[in-house]
Amino acid sequence: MKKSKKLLLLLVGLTFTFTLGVLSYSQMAEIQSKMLIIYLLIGLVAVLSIAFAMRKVKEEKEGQPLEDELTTNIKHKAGYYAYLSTIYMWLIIFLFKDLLSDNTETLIGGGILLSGVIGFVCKEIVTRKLNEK
Amino acid sequence: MKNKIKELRARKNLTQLDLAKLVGVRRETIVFLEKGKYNPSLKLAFDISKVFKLSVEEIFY
Repeated sequence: MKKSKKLLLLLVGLTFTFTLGVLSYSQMAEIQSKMLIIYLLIGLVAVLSIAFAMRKVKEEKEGQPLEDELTTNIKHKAGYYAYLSTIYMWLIIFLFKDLLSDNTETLIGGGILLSGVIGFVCKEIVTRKLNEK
Repeated sequence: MKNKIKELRARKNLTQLDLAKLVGVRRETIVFLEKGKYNPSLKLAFDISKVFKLSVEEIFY
């Protein structure tokens, strides 16, 4: 069961990387610098998700609970900070939309991806400064 | 808040993972507790004190 989970994770990761590679290669000539940033963001989110999932599987194998009071505390604090940061991020995106991109879909997609990255960064910051008021 | 978890754990020959399993938390939580980076809930403090058969005040100060 555990082996199949690992295999599934590996397959999803490889499929995702392969698709991203084919997509990037097929559009190599047309890729604009703004789109490249979005592709990099997609790649970053994918790599982080896979690494996180692998760690969880390993910990589950060791018999550790997936969540405890510390993780819940971190989640609550990080969620609050991520929520506030994301509001400001959308405000900045809408204020400078003319400078960023003409395409609304690109703006929204980029914003959603950036929200994921913000969430991850907030979690890391909260984890490092847990006891600071 | 400081604590004697690392010292007590060493005396009992327990690894961080062993202690984590005994009190039902993740190993990461024990690491944070030992470094003084996390103040445990009352329940966790009592669970830890039960493992070491000491009072909460003797472990956390």
